[in-house]
Amino acid sequence: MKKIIKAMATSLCLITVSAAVGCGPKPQTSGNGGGGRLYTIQVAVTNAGFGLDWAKTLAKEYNEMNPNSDYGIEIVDYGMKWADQILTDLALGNGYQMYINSANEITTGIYKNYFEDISDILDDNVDGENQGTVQQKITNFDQWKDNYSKFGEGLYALPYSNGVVGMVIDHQEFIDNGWYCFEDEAKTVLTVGKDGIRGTYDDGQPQTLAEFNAMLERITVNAKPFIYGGGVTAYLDYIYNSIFAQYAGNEEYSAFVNYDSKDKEVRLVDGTTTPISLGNGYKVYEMKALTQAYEIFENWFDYTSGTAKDYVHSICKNTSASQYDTQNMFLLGYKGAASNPKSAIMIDGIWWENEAKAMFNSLDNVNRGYGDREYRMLLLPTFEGQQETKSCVSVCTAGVMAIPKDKNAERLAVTKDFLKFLIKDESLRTITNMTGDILGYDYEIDVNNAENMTPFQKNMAQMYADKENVRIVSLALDRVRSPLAYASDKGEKSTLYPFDKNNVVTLNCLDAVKKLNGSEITTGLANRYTKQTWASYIQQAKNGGFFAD
Amino acid sequence: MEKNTIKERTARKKLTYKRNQYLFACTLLIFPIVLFLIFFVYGRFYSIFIAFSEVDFLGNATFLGLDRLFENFERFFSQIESGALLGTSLLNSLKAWLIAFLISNPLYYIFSYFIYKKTKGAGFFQIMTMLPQMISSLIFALVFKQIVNGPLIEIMNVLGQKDFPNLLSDSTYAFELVMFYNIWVSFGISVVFYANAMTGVSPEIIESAQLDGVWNMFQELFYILIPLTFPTFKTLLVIGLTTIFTTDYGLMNFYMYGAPSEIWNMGYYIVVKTYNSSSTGYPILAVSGILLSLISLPIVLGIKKLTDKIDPISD
Repeated sequence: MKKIIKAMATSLCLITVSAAVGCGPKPQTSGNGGGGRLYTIQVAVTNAGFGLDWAKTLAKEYNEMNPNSDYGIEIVDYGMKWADQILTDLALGNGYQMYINSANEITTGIYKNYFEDISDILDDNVDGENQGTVQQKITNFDQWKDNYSKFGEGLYALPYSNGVVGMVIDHQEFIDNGWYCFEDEAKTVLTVGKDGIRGTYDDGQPQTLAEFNAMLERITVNAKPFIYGGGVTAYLDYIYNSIFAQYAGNEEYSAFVNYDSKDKEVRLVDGTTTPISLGNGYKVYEMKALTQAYEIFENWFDYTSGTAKDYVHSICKNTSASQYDTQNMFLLGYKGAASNPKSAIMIDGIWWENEAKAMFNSLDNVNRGYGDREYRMLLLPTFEGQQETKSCVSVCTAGVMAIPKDKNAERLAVTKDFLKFLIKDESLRTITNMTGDILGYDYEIDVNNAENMTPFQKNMAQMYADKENVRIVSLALDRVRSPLAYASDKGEKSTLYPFDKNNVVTLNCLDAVKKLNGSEITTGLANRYTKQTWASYIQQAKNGGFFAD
Repeated sequence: MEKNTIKERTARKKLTYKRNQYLFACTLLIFPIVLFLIFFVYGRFYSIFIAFSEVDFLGNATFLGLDRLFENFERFFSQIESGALLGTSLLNSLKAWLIAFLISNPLYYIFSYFIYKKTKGAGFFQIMTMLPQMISSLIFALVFKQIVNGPLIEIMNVLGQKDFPNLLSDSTYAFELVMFYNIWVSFGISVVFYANAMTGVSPEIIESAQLDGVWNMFQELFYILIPLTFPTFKTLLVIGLTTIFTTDYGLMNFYMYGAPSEIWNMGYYIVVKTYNSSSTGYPILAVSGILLSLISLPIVLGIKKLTDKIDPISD
């Protein structure tokens, strides 16, 4: 009995001690990781739609390029953990040496001094003089710096992805079923797209709202126009944001994001106009463009409305349906099963092919495998009264590449070097070839010589490069642009959503149109913030050191 | 001399044994005590502290005293969504508790009695009531949700109910469905308590009652077992009352942060507000916690006093 008690007491002590030790800082690994080097630099990478293969490939390449370095790069699977987990890791002293994450909300970590100021590498050439400096490579550097500096000083992260969510279509299905716009009665010649060039990514796409709605009606004859995951309805927010950005135009959209119209008048829903500044920033929720966008959105997606058509696949009504389920349904729709009718337009991101690889592999034998068919993204048509001249597409996955504070100067230097390596043109092209992702940098993708790129990836590259006709708007970054997003109760979530009738903010744009009619949405938006609450947010941000007078 | 040495040795052995027992108990308790101190004591005191403070966006709290407390109360009540939603949440918490109390307790007694009497089907009842306890609550909720979202709708469609709603998404039915779920999952523990309490009733009392004319199960349950197990009922009632405004009744498991606003309760309100708030909003949440404590404390004490008065077996 005594022995049993002793054994139990000892094991309990061991459990207690090991648990306490387990809470301590992560020990620095050495030896086996990072290509068998003396020391390892662990880079934690989000493992979502893009996977990890691209990161492992580049890490291996970097290690092979530096055979004599004591430090080796090791890629760590960070799963689907986001900014809050990164900040928790760092608060507990358990951080990795670098993070590549699809989330953007690390700003509070910057102000808590969790991250290294990497502005010292901004003037470094990325790879020889031909590729320019780090700063020159970053798309919209000034906007990026606004987000990731500390009170305008320094720079604490570099961009990661610039992946959009849009309307994915099967090009051949659209031709075979006559869903496209054709120039001839026989439906053999597609119309030229917005770019006016035949044979590009946007041929046959409807240019006006009337054409787009007519296309939806044509689709309903033998298919469901839209398909998205009933459990992933937040993706629709990016469609809404694109519609809104088109209605708003560049200046009003910027006013909405920054609460500053630079003294220019912004159109309000009641027909008046007003300039927007920080003090009356809550007025942006009365913008006419927001309501206009909700009208379009409701007509397309609100299947619960008695007046709007039911354009959606049944999986859109299943709140447990994941995006994988959606992709599977979309890809298997060709079978024409009663339980899975064909669907025309899938709401998904630029990464979707990579994410759906398992289903693609299972369809290899019917010539529907990965890369066998050509998928495109449908651009939004021009809406009457819109201020924007281009078609807008919204970024869902932006994310950051950031280096936590590191006291080891030698290791830090290697980490920064690896960061620069990642944004070389060759590395960026590798990432694009392997994942389809277009990153937040200026680099050329030669689609004609990109053997590994699927037709969809090539189309997306063309779309991104068509700056004359396409504007990429980054909802992902815009949400966290103003200090009110992270330094006050306002928060960064629910930027576009109205209140419901109980003055609770709706969950997303689809939730809004399902619960509210047009005038209720207008009221729900206008009620989001009062003058008083807005003033309190500004004061909180000022207490945090922002908006210095 | 030798006798003394033996005595001394025996005394030392006893002391060593007592010390080892004490050490063992400490080792067992150290972890829960540390957790209690951190998450309950420190958490509660810190919550009260920040009710009197201003917290910046980095989480740094500055104590500002009574004036700040009143200001935080004012901020809490002035929040535009506080009015309707707060009222709805409070009402739903009270409704949920009342429904659980009025429906669950009779059912607990009945099922416990069947188990106590080992009637036909008692084993089946035991498994069905204990099932939610054996499986992780999150997994059980997810399975329940999957069934409601999918197979249930399909079965109802096959049975001719073509427009059968998604009971969880439709706010008309969501509250009732969540209550049904809560009553089911609460069975396990409560039935164990009541069944044990019934088992603790002396068989002589039951025999004596039977001699006095108690001749069916109904009478045995109502005139003997319920009064004799009243202390257990009282304890569970008071414990349940203390969580009336802190439990979310499973809404997080079903909806995460997206429950229809019509079915919010106070526990869920606090969780969602905390999630959606930056650290600057913590003082407001802290004062809401103080308010809820001020509301629930007299209710708990009052009910306890009442049940003490009507306890049939109290002195």
